Amino acid sequence: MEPKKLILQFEDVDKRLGKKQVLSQVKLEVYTGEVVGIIGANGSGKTTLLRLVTGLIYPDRGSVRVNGKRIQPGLVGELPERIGALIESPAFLPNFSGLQNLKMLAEIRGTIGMEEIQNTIRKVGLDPTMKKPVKTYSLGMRQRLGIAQAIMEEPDILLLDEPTNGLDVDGVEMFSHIIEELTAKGTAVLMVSHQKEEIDRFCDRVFQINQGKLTLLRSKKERKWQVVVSSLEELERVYQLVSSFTMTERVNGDPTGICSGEWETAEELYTFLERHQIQVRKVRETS
Amino acid sequence: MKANFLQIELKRSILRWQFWLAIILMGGLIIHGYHQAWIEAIHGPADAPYPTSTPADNNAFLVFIYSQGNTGLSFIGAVWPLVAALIAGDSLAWDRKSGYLQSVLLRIGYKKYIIGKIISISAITFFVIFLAESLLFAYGLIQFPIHDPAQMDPQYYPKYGSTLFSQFPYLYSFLIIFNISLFGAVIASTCLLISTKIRNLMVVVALPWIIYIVLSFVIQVIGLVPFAPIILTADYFSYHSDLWIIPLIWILLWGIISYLTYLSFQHQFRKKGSYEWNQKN
Repeated sequence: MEPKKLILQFEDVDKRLGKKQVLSQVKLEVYTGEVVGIIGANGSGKTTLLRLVTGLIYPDRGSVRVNGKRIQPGLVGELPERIGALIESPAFLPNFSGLQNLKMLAEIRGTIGMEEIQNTIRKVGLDPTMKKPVKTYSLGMRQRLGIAQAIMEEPDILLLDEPTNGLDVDGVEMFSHIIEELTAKGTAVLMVSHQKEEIDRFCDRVFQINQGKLTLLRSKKERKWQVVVSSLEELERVYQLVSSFTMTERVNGDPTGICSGEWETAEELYTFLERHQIQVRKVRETS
Repeated sequence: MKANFLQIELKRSILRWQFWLAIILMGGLIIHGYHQAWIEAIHGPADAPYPTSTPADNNAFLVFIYSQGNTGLSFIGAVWPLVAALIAGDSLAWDRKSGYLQSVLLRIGYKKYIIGKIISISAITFFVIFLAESLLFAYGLIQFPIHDPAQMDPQYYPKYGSTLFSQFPYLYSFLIIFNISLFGAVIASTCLLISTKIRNLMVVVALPWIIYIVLSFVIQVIGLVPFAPIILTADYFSYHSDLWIIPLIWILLWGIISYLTYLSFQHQFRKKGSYEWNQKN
């Protein structure tokens, strides 16, 4: 696996929109293959942060660097790295089908052909042969097409704004697979949302944005673990040890519970529990 | 890159109903103009604003020139800007209104985008009008008798380029087609200029038409009648002028309007350093 490389960097970025100071002294580094999440209330500056990366707006102070190159006026569309983005609601030409829309966008760069476009449409759970114009698509279908638009050219940086908005359970699962696949290939993902569950599920590092300032909430991805123990007493001890632990249905008659945490592997959690003299039958990662 | 842009824009244009409305309007009004000219130029009253001629003087070339909107024989002269704007003029306004512009600007520089847009939309409008007019000219050649204009009474010649008309009527007819196609490109770039400020599709398509009517009126009022847009596009019978005057006027206007469009679009990215902010305010 290639070593992680710094690909996106915010250095003391200030941004004012009208009279409102939207971002203040923002520092952020994103590396290849990681998913960074930013959580914040509506109007807190999450989307502005993404727009700064696209070059559609520029910082008032500080700098945004993509692969070491500074985003500056005139750079929009000629960014140093390929960027895929789904910012706010997905925008398409309403009178054309999803395939036609993606084909027109892909033809601008000319780096992918019809086959790749159709595969991407299938990947997001849509039918590439569907002739319906986008204006007749449901919110979820538009969102899927928006994701397809953002990922079809296999970007180096993927910017996502409330990506699971309007997606059903299958859609969220599909999105999860896509993120895993892209990050495995080294794509850096910067995701913003006001939904904590969304950010917790997909992101390795999580920041909170409040009054224009960015604060680190979590430096590692939290995973969910199923823990099977030998007795109810053991289960009680796990419950006292791990704050996120909740009891679930027994597995093969053994008391079982689920917890979340930053353990990287099942062995890590197993060792942690053993160290506290808890007799564990089985630990496995769960979704 | 430019070829890509042209392809995309052509595809987009053809798949819109507005494009086909433009074709229907152009075809319908010019064919109507043909027949109106054919009937009235032969049987019209003695005090008609256009010269009435004998069937021997009348021919496919003459009625083609009349059908372009001369002195009320065809309505096309009054609606040329609308027809040209409907072909592809609302493209930039669509991109801005739908938010599609943002997806496009992730893939291409804004300077390349607007230059590509100006060239492709102008070229599409030019070629669509050129092709449609050529087909309509062919229709006239099939439908009406072809007499050598050199044998006609010279009083029936158009005043614009009368020598070319009498000696090379086919070439002359294509010059008229070329002129009106250039005018189409001017309207297309005017639509783009308006679209850099306004996202309302109706306004973008209709405003050049209103400007055309108002300008034609004002220019005629101040005494520069031969330079009124409606005279330059439709009336080849009333005023003498050199052959190159009309195409030169349209080419210059296209250049100026296109440059203004480029500047206006670029300004969106410079003002306050924020394109998006300007989109919302």
